[in-house]
Order: sequence, then structure tokens, then C-alpha cells
Amino acid sequence: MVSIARKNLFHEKGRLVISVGGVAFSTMLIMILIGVYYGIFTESTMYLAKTRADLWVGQEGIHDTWHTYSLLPRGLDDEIKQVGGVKDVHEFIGRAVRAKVSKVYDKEETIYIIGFDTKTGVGGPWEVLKGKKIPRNGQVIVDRVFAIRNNIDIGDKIEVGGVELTVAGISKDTFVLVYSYAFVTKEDAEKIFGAEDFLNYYMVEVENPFFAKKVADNVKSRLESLGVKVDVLTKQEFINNHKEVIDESFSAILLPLVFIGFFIGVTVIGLTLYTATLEKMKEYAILKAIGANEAFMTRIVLEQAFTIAMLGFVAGSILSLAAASWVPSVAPEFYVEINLQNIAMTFASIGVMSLVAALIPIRRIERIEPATVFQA
Amino acid sequence: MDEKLAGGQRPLEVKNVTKIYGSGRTAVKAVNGVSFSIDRGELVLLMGPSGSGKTTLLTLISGLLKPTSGSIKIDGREITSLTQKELAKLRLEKIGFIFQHFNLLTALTALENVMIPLIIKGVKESESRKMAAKLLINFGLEDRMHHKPEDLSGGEQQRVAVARAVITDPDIIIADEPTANLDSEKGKEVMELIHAMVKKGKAAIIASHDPRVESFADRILRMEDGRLKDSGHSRT
Repeated sequence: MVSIARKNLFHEKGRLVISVGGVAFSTMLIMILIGVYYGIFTESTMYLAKTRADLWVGQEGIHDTWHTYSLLPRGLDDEIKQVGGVKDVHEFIGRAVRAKVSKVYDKEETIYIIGFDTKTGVGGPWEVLKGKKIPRNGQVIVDRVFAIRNNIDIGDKIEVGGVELTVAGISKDTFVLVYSYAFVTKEDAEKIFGAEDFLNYYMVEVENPFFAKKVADNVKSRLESLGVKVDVLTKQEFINNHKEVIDESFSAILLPLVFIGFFIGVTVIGLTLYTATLEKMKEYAILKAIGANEAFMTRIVLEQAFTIAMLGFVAGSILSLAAASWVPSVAPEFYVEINLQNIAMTFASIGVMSLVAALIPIRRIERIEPATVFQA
Repeated sequence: MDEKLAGGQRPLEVKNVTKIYGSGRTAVKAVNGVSFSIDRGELVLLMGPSGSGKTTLLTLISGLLKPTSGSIKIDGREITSLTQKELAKLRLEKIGFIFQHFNLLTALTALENVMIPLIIKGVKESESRKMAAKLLINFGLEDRMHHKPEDLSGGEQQRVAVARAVITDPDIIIADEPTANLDSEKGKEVMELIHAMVKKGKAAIIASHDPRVESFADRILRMEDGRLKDSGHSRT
């Protein structure tokens, strides 16, 4: 089909490149910001997602590992194991503490120490980039971001709660936005926290995850019958609680930035269309004079807007994918997740953007006086 | 005259049309009580000095402006009371325009420019392309149809404009100084094309200062100060 809109756009290649570039930039801004947002969710809850725990048993009223610490007495694991459908039970001991990461510079940083059962490995790191996966007493597995940020490698020492630990491994995807997980033996964790009679959560594996919710209710009933007030959350509930914490903290920062990206896109497409419309006023008047109606004229502007938007979206998506793989090498704290939902949201934003941007040029074209075709 | 009307209503009838711009003391009568009609197969030349109201009159009979008073009928249909949408449809189907500055769309090839009225009309692209190509071949532009206006000479551009004007087989051709930007040879070629279309049963009204156009006219209307000095005598 002879498309006046596309012919007009491609006739002015320089302007087209600038417009597409502007939309690509907006696409990139929106996609990367949404990607960072999703990345924070994914990375921060990766530990919970990867750990072999279908249920998390914690102190009543405490629904995440970051806000407040759940404290439960030891020795409940045998009781939990009695509940039908329970396959195994593991202890979780974890807390954010200050760690002295370099004696030379006397630098301190917060890390989240997790003590896990080194025999089963449950609760420990799921992937190490370097060194060992299972530490011995006196050893620690630190996160990649923590290691890069503090220039730490295997064999280096850190000091936590007066306990000196030697770095034995470097793990991946164990960074939680503001601090990172560090894995030690259960014994070392007890020494660091100074609380041998308490733990934070029981991690429960069930026979069939399909019935996890039912098993959770039964575990809660059994423990409450013993006078221990607990909340038992499925893995997904526990992950969602953590995501809510992130959402509450970061939506207010990220959403305005996404809006700025949207605004830039609207401005770029709008200015391009408006300039193109002004330049082609005479030609639009000719079209009107020879019999084009308002719907035909509106279609031209919309097609121009959507063509710019789609070309910009494709270019921006490719750039975003490239940036997503490049960002972690320069800013290891950031994990940019470009998933289908992110792409769909960005696509919808760009679609709305082109519609909004087309409104003023459409109004301008409506007001064109076709009688001007007879003017010199 | 009856023979000329055999095709039905007169293509164009203008009765006592007046157009006033502004109001009160600043009001200007651009067209003042103009009446005339054109028959099929008739080429009418509208002459007069600059500012005499020729262009305003063309604009009024095209339905691009509404007269302050009077009646304009195209094919027997009163156009002064039509909506913008109805006027657009009427222009598309009944009127072909030719302008002094050709007014081709710069981003489109000659062929695509000629196709435009058909596309607006909703004719299939393949059919539009075939019809436009056939017409351009008839107009001697076979080798130029894939060129953009910037690569065409003035004469070629005006021939493309004539092709665009007649592609939808309109009843009336309205032309404003169609030869003003052409040398005598090219101007003659363009007028011959228009004349040929008129002889096929179309009506044409051409506003022009160009004395070369007079030889093609069946009738000449002279305008001065918004009025017709006379309703034109047949030259045949």
C-alpha cells in the first residue's frame, strides 16, 4: 500500500534517524529502569527461591527476614517432622551484622550472615564462582558484589562480631540491594550472634509441594498446640512478602524515573510529528482539497507516530539488551532483568506515548484550511 | 445547449454568489453577485487582473470556502449547505484540481501522486497502480513515473498534476494558472491535455492571465472588482 505517512518519514531520513534515536533512548530508559526494578526483585529473593525450603516457619507476626528478626526456640524440628507431608526440616540462622572488611583501611560494611548446616548444604550458596561451596569453621563464602566492592579474594580475611573469617569461596546472585549474604557454618553463626538457644526460622521441605499450604496449616496447628506462636508461610508467600518490602522502598524512586522516560518519549515523538506536520502543511491542505477526509488525515499522523515509535522501540530494545549484559560489569550491584513482562510494559508505554504525541499534530491538521492550496 | 445537457444536470451552476471577508467597515466583497454556468465539454477561461476575485471564485465553486450568499450547484446538487465531510466526498468524486505550483506530494513518485485520489477513494492498490500507470503512459510520462517531483521538469510535474486531477474521472476540472510556471511549449502541451479531457465530456474552468490559454477556451469570463464584467460569449 502506498503509505503517505511512511513515504513522508523516509523522505526526511535525517529527521527520522533523530526521532527514532529519541524514542530508542526513551525505550532504553524505561526498559532499563523497569529491568532494574525487576532485577532487584529477582536478585533479592533469589536466595529464597533457590533454597530447598517449601515452608518457612517463623515467629508469629514476622513475615520477612529483613525488617525484624524472628526468634524461635531450638528443638522444634522433631515436632515439625511429625506433621504428615513433611519430608525434612532445616534450621535458618541469619542476621545483618557489621563486618570489618579490611584491617588496613579499617572499613566496615553490613553483610547478612547466614549459618547453615554444612552436612546437608540446605540454606547455603547455590552457585559459587570461585573457591569452595561449603565452608569449614572459620571460613566464609562471600558474594561476588561484596568481593568486587571490597577488593576481596580467596584467602582474604574479614572480621564479624569479633570472629575472624577467611574467605573460602565467592558466590553469585546473593546480593540483596543494600547488603549481601555471606555463608558460614552454623557453629560460627552461633558464635557471631551469641544466641545458641534460638534460631530464626525453620525451613521445611514437604513431600508434595502441591499440598504445601495444607501442610503449613497443619505445622502451625501442631506448634501452637505446644504453645509456640508461629506463622508458617509457603515459599511463594515468603518471597512475595520480601518483594513487598522492596516495592514499598523503591517504587517511589523508580516510578518517577520511568515517568521521566515516558515524558522524554512523548516530547521527542510529539516534536518530530509537529515539525513534520508544520513542514507538510501545504501538502496536507492539498490532500484535503482533493477530497481526503479527517479520518484519512488522522490515519497519516497516527501511522507516522506509530512507525517512529515502533522503529524506536526495536532499536531501544536491542540497546537495552546490550546494556543489560554490560551494566553488571561496571556496576555489579545492578542486575537488569529484561523479561517478557518488562518488554510488554515498555511496548505499551511506547504505544501510549505515540498516541499522546499524535494528539496535537492531529488537532493542527484538523485546522488546516484547504483553501490555502490556491495561494502561491 | 440541450445536446450538451444530455448527460444530465449542468456540471456547474453559480447563481448570484457573493463572498464578503471581514465585517462592518472593514468588510471586503471579494466576489459580488456572480452568476454563470458551465456545460459538459466546455472549457471556460476566467480572466481578470490580480485581486479581481478569480481565485476566491474558484475556491467557492470548489467547496473549499462557503459563500456569504448565493447558490452553487455541482451536477444539480446545492453545495453551499453540505457538511465538510460531504464536501470532501464531492471534491473527490466530481472535481479535479490543477494548480499553478503543481502541488505534488514531494515524498511520492509521479505514479504514487496520481494514485492518491484513488487511494483516498478506497480503490485497491493494484487497481490504482494500473489505472495511474495507464494514464501516465497516455500523457507521455512512461519513463518518468517512478521519479519524484524534484526529479521532474515543470512541464512533467504539471502533466502529472493533470493526470492526478482526472484519474477519478471528475465532471469538472478547476485549474488556477496552470501554465504560469511553464514555458510556451510546455504550457501548450498542458493545455492540450486539459482540452482533450474537456472534449471527452468534462467541464473546465481555468483562471489565467496567460493569453496562450485563450485559444483553447470555449468561453471567456472577465472579472473585475469581484464582479463578472460579462457572462462570457461562446467562441465557437
